[in-house]
Amino acid sequence: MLVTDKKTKEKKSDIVKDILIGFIILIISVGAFFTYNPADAPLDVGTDGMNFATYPLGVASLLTLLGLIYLANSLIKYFNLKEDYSFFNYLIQSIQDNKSLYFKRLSTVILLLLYALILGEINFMLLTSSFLFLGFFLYERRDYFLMLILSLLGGGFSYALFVYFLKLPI
Amino acid sequence: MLEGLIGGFANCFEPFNLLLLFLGTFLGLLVGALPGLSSPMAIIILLPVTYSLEPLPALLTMIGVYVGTKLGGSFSAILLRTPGTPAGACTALDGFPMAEKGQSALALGYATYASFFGGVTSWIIAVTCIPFISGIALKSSNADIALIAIMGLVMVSAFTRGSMLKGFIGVCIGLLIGSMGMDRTDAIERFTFGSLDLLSGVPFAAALVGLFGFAVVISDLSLMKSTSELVTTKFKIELPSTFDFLKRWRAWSIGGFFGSIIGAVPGVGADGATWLSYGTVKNNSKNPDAFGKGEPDGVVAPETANNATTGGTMVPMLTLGIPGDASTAIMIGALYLHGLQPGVTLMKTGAEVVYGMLAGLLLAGVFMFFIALGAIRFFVYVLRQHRSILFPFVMVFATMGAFASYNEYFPVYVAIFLGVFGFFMEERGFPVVTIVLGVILGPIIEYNTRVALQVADAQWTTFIDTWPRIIMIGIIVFLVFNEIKQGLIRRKISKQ
Repeated sequence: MLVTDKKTKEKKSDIVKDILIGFIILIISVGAFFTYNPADAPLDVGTDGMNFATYPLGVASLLTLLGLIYLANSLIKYFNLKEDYSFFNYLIQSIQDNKSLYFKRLSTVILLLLYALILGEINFMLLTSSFLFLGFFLYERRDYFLMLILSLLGGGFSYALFVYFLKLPI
Repeated sequence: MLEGLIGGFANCFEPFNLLLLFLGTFLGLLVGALPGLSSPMAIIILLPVTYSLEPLPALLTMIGVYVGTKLGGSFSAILLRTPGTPAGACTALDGFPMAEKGQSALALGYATYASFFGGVTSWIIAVTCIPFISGIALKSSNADIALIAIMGLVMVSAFTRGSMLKGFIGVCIGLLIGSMGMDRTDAIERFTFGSLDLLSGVPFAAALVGLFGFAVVISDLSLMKSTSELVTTKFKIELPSTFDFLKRWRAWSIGGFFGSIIGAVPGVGADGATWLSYGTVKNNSKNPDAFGKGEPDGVVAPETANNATTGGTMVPMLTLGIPGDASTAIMIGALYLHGLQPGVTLMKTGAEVVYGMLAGLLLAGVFMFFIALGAIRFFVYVLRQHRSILFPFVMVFATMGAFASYNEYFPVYVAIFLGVFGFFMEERGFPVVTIVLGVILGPIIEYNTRVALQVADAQWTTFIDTWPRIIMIGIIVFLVFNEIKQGLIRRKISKQ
């Protein structure tokens, strides 16, 4: 459901996202050259035509090449498009238009991080029930009684399944 | 082969295995019916539960989900015009108009019949091909295995939706992720950033949960407000007569053929097969104008193709260790997590599991047929529920899936990070399945390349030593150059 073939004409705002992704890819690929060997092992290890560094560096080189092609392609598209565009205006407009969706996405990640951080610190059933309740609330349910019942049932079920039956050391 | 298959059925008929297969199929139908939830996500939800099971019961549950989602996706496509799965989109073209004409029960009947038939057809093809291909694959050397894996990656990049460039970038990112941790040959750290947790690499389950679970939830939050307006209030399945179904031989034979063949090509997946079958049947129809207005052949062809891919995808997965789609990629991951080595040796080391999975594939099709007939009202009830109830539960189960892989919290953080990363990549059209494939196949490629070079005294010419290797290299080169050519043509057209 995620990837959609976009047949509509591309806008500069989309191409800017591509440019940003291009930079991220390059950061990953170039960064790989500096971080592949944290133990500072000598490169002459291995006598079989390849050593421990050949493969990650080969992949990083290929990724750098592909990232450069992708970035160049996006930049060419950007400069060829005749469209008035201001990155900051678009950003502000986009945030205003999709405020609710962006808030939900950001909050989902924060909620997940909090859940992961607190997992094991407090009672699993209580934590999961609270997580579910907050999740329902975040996704705009306002029937509090049903939310409470579902959260408690969900927490209880999760506890029974993961702690009691599967014996996970949570 | 027959002996193995009989043994597979005997294993499947053990009450516990049969129950899990049934429950998996039921869950698959349920998840498939819900727009926004997909087969990979359902399998991810099941991950923590399957850890404690033996390999075969765990994989049977996943097979059930995999088969069930195929038909489940058509329920919402026919009743809502909102396909539950991408492959269901094609069914909506004629299924929804049939429902609008008051023939929803019949449209669901055609879909159920066609799905069952597609599953059986592809099962026959799979059980015929798998022993034959594995027989050849078992004779492969390390150089062959490395080339097969590279070919699989190139094929997925070439045939998956979006551009090949994006597919390749996804694959390379996956390969880098797969190379993290201690090197298998020299035992030297790579990309560990000083973290002890990363010494054994990125937890595989965390990658699956992040890329197929969290990323999808974050993305599908945009569907949260979508309402499910059903076109009908009659919720039953009316099976067409056998004669009527047989009369549509062109639709189901084309669907079954394309589904089985295309399913076996890594990366194309069921949606490619459904559209191709639909287009072919429409073009060969005496009345092509009827398509899109409620023509039953327009339901039969894509639904047969959709379910026929289940057998097709098993062929490269069980013989070569190359997944045909996202769901089989997760199943390959599950094989690893259960201590089995997917690939050419699987038939030797885990024949019992392979035959059990094949037997389960057929039985899941039978379950799917009867569950759909008996529980359609329940699926429609769930279809009308708000997704705000489902997503928090999905997140809890996905989190536990990551945690239970190592019984540690570290994989959960990795999963959240990869979920956010995967979301941004998917938003810009980079299919995350290519990243996962890179993670799966990367270590196989590296290990086998190194062993092949050791055997050949570091001579890289070993990769063009035999005809099969030359053919594989030829296919890889052809696919890459063909895609470059297509890209240049597309650019020329867009300039004009």
